[in-house]
Order: sequence, then structure tokens, then C-alpha cells
Amino acid sequence: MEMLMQLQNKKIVLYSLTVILGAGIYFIENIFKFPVPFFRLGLSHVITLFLIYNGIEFKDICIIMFLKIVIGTMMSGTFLSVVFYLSLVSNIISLIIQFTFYKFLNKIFSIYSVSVIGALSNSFIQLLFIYFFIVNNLMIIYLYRYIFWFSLFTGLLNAFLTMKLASSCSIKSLF
Amino acid sequence: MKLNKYDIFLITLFIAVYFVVILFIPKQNKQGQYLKIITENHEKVYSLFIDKTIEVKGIDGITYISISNGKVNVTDSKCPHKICVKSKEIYLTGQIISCVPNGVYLFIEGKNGNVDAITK
Repeated sequence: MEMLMQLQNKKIVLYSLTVILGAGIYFIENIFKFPVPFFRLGLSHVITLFLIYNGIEFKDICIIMFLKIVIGTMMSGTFLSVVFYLSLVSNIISLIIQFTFYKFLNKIFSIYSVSVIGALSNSFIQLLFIYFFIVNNLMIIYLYRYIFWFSLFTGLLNAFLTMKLASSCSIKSLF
Repeated sequence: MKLNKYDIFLITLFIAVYFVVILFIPKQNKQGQYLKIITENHEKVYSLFIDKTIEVKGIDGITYISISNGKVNVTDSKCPHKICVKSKEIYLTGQIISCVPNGVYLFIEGKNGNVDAITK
């Protein structure tokens, strides 16, 4: 019983730390906007990648991600707006892709591939979402030819930062 | 854990797929086939391949439009700011020139434009 309680407490610590880190990064990134419209570095994905890298369960990552988006958009003033739904849909679908990819192919590919796949799928899903629900103009999909290169760069950058984070701290020591 | 050879392979694969897809995506703007002129009272379609000068009666007066070498220009118009006259020539599908004060709107349409009749 005590063991279970201890595990529960550690989970609460993990949840609160990662959620507030992710939401904080999301918020700060929203204040210092990238100068080009449609482009974001998406640095809060570092937290998601860090969780995947540390072998946290899918359910836990999903909850953390949901809370991160809810708190992050609340702080930025975009809660329940288009931005919120856009983030939610793209993040969850790309999480499923990243998690499955890393689970089955982690012996071959490193976190860099996972991050690049996540960044590419995330931006593509966002564009599809915008195309189907907001601006029904094919020009939106054509934007992907520029966003592709940027996503590639942010994917590699996020993976690099994740590895930096992972080398300095580990979730495993918490459990 | 650093970027390994499989990662580099995967990223190269993505870039290769990107270039293949880019090659096969048709350009969005193609040379137009028809000029559609919409005014307050009527709507007319002209072929872009026949050089012509068209006079269209607008709200304030006549707008002069010329078609030459598949390109459309507004040469003169009875409007105060002459924005339509200063506009660059249009020839790709989707391009428009609109003269709001005179109520004359020009649209370039492609093969699949909804054409009822062509004036020659």
C-alpha cells in the first residue's frame, strides 16, 4: 500500500513538473513570436520527446500533453479558440505517430528521427485542419513546401535539446 | 545518443519524397483561357487568344480593356483613382482586376471555368 502511495506521489510530481514546464515554454514562445507567420519553433515538444525517450506510458504522456495545452492556451488567452483545437488535434495525432514509431523502432532510429517525424506530421496535420475547417483554399497546402524545411529544422533542434535535457536529468531516478 | 546513420537515411528519404511530390504537383497558376468581365448589369466571357479592345459600360462611364498576346490590361477607366489602370496585366488563372468605383470586375479563368458562351 505504501509502495503504491509512493508511486502515486511520484506520478504527481512527474505530472506537475512536466505539465508546468511544457505550458511555461508554450506561453513564453507565444510571447516572443517567431517573426514569420505560420512558423513556430514548437519548443514545448521537447517535454513530450523527453517523456517518450524515458519510456513513460502513452496514457500518462497523453494526459500531460492535454494539460500542457489547456494550461498553455489559458495563459496565452487562446483557450477553446481555434488555436486550442488546432494544437490539440495535431499534437495528439503526432504523439500517436511518434510513440508508436519509437516503441517499435527505437533500436534502429534515435530520438532525432522521432522528433523529425513528429514535427513534419504535426505541421502537416495543422495545415490539413486549416484547409478543411477554416480556409478552404489549396494555397494553404502549398505552404507546406516552405514549412517542410522549417519543420525539419525544428525537429532536429527539438531532438538536440531533448538529448541535452536527458543528459542532465532523468525521470528514471524519480522512480 | 547522437544522430545515427539510420536517422540520416530517414531524413534523406523524407527530402527525396518531398522533391518527388513537388515535381508532380501541378503549378497552381496556369496561363488562363478566358477573360470574364462582370459589371452591374451583365457578365461576358472573352477568349484570351484573340486580341481585342473592349469597352465596358460601368457605373460612372466606360472602362477600356485590351486583350493582347493572352494578357489583359485596363487602358483607361472613368474612375477617380485609376487603380485598375495602374494594375499590372493579368494572364494567370485566378488573377483579377477590380475597378470598384466603376463596378467592373475582370477575372481570368482556366479550362474548367464555367463558360456559357464566348464572345469573339
